Amino acid sequence: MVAKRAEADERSKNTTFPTVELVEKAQAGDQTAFHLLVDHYQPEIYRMIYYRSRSQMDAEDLTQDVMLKAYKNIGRLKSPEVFRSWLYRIAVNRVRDYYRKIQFKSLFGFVSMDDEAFHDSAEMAVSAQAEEGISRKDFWRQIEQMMTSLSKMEKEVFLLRFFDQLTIKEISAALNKNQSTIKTHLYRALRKFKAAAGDLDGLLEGI
Amino acid sequence: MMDQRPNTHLAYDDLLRTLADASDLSSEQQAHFESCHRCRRQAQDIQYRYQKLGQMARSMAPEPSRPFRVPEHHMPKSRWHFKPGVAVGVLGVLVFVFTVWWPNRAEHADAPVPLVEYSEQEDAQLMAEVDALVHDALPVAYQQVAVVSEPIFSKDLIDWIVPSIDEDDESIEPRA
Repeated sequence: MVAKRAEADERSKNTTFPTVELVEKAQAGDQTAFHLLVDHYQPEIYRMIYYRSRSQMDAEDLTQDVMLKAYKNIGRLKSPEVFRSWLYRIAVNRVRDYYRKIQFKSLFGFVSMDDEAFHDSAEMAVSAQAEEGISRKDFWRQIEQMMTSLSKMEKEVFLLRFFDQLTIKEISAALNKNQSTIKTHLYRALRKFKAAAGDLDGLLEGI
Repeated sequence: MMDQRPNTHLAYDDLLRTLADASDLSSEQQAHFESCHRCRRQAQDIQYRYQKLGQMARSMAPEPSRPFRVPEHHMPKSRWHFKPGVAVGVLGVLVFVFTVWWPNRAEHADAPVPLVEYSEQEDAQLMAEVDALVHDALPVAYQQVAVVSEPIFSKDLIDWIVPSIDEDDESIEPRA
């Protein structure tokens, strides 16, 4: 048991953060433990949602929703060591919901997904410390352009792998697909992204 | 001294394949990749570029402004937890029983019940006034203000038409 926990913690992104121990405590009803988990994982879940919605306001709301869902269902999580993947899985589903609802509304003209105003202004959304380098607006526009040829699944796998820094195994758990499927999608995504972006030199120059 | 071996270096697509799954390469390519410093370095360089792209995206994303805290109505409640409101209520009832009702019980038992004359006309008038109030609850000045209609697609209606992903989908244990 101790060995299993140690192995799981070793696998987690930050080896010093005791995810498994806190998940077990949270499952036993310890709210402080759950809040510690939230404080550790909320920023990355928020960013993950922001990359996809590109709206700060929606990212805030959806992140709160993801965390509440996690709190309500943490007792049903049988393997505390997959907590991170499980959290991403809830987030991926919430983002899908978000797009389905937006698409439904756009059918009736209540919101246009192509509208510039649909996404927050990139300038508004940047963190204060990242003021230098290429324009943030340009960055997100270029990323969006480079991803147009990717299918939804390829885009999701690509973002989870490089933007959210999940391992293949974690992506497989988050999307509930087997690892070979994930690898295939990742390879296709890399080829298409390379075709659109070249060696990324243009983008990376700004750093 | 010139290298006499044929040029077996991995093509760019194969190098990309190593980022996804190096075991997907043919056995010859795998053997070459393991022994070739140049190919491994190129693959590392490509991987580094994509990692740097992710790093850049992270630096260009905002931070959450609201830390999540479990809302009070979702917190588990202890069955025997002291509730001041209930305690005050119970105390109030006890005070009423022992100070107002109990001492007068004997007097009330013998006192005749006062008769109230029933007037059908007054009763009808009262009901008419009540109906008028119900019908025009707003002050006169506000009664002509146009009613703001509900949005055609309320949140509940959208939730009904486009239901959220099944809760059970999230309860399935992720593949470890």
